[in-house]
Amino acid sequence: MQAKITNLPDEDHVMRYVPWGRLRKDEDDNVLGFLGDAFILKPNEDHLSVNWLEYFDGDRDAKIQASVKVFRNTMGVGGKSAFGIGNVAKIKEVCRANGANVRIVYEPRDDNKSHSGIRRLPRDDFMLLEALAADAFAELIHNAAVPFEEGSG
Amino acid sequence: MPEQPYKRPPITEAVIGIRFADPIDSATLDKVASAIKPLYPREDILKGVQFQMRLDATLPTAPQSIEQIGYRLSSPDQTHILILMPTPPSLTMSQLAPYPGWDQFFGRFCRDWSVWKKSVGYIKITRVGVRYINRIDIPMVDPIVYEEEFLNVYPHIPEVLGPMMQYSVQTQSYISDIECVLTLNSSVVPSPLIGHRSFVIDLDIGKDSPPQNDTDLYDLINRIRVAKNRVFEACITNRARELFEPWLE
Amino acid sequence: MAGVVVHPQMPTVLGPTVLPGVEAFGVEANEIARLIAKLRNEPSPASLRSTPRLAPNEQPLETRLFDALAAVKILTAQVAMHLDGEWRRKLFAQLDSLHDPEEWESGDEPVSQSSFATFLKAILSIRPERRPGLGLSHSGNLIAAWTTRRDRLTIEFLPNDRVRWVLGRYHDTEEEPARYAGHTHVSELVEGLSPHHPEHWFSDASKNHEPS
Repeated sequence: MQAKITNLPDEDHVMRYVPWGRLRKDEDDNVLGFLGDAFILKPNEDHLSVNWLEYFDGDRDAKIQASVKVFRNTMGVGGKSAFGIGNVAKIKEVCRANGANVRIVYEPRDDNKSHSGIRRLPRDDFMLLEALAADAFAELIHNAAVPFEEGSG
Repeated sequence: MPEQPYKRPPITEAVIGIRFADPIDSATLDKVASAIKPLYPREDILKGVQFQMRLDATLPTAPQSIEQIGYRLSSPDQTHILILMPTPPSLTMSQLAPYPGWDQFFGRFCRDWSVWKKSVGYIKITRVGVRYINRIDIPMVDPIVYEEEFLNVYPHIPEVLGPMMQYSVQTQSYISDIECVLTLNSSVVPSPLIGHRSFVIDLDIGKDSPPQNDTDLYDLINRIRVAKNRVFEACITNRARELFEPWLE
Repeated sequence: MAGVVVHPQMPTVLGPTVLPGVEAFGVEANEIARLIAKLRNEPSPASLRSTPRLAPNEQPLETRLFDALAAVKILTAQVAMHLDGEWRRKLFAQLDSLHDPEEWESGDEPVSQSSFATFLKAILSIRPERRPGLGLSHSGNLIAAWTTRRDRLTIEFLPNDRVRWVLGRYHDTEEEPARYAGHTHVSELVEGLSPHHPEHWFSDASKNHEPS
């Protein structure tokens, strides 16, 4: 039976992993935020992968920690990387303002039950990517600032 | 007053090359590369393939390949390069821009040559050469750049043919006071700068059967350098010199 | 022009030149070609590179990253006479940082020479007092970012002398920035940015941002 497609609630949040090379930095490599390229679809992708923050239990800090743990367990996370957090409604609003009617859909995976996808994102729209980086994903969490749990690697 | 006359010399690459009479075996090359590694942390292996074709039609043709291994050693920022080749047997030291001046450049050669001699011992030198590749970048204020305003080396063609889009000049001359041969290549090249037209002046001055002892070898290289400067200054005009920002006395 | 040799104009201090005489084509033309080839200088040491035995995706990561960095550092040397020494050193440090194997994203391409050549042309044309922060796209295009308070200018350097840029400026008490974008040949970058007062980002006086 096909799983029901679930759009994430507008009041919820998603987290995106951003490697060092796609962080916005100043001339001395101080991190300032995100580059638009942090939200670009790769050639083999049809959606932008994010974690659904409210999937996890606990207060906000606990949710963030749990989400980061999943990233660390399922992909190579660089020491100087970061995570962007955006509100679902804000992401959709920013996309709409740039002519894109996206859906943010819950799509759990075996190794990541919080996995979700931002779908119908235009490929390579430079203005939209900049808006996502500057306006939609408003919060930045440094990977180095999130403590490692025992056994979380 | 700095030792070089220009704040922004147009040198893109400076080279001192030594060619030897006898091939260098791979064990010797490895020894030199190992000895000099602290000075050139990056080591790349250069490979070439040589095919031998049988000319006797009665024998079955079986091309053979012989792999030749050399070393390209470099500094992390790639401005210091040392090439060691077994065939033709040679040691070639290169400095990319920014050019640090003759004292530093020649000092590095003396240092590397000393390491070479300690590792390899004496091998007869068949040629010593000094090569400077200069690129002159001329801002295009007008659509046409008249090379003769900046250079004294250019082809002369009838006016009816109009401005040249491209050219290449290659000459060989004998410099009698140092008994060396000058090979000069000059051409229009694609400019790396927007709104500029660029010309290369590539000067190679070399001597076959040079001195074999270090004192005379160093003296020759220094005299080649003086000749090279004379040649370069003869190839450019004052308008070109202004581009390199001469140090004011 | 076929069959005509132009005698070059040479300074007399260089002495007499020795050139082959030209009579006709065929055997003589081949001889000319051989003699001309003999005059041509050998490839310079900087242009000699090792030929990788493995395809790029088979090479160890550190080798791929180093080779890419070496190539763009050699490109930089070609214009080093036009760059401030300190500027160049810090640029190299930023490039090294971008290509740190510990931070490398699997599947990414290191900086492409073509993109970097576009970057150098742009930087030498703009001549910003402030160095940009650097990033790298998935496909190896270099990205330069200048940030002044909340205002952002981002330029991506594409192969073959193309650039695309986007900027956002907040005016007075506005909550949303005014955004503009362009996609041009690198020679048109300065003209494209000029209506937006790029000195707001490029001048040293504009250095005022808050690290996150």
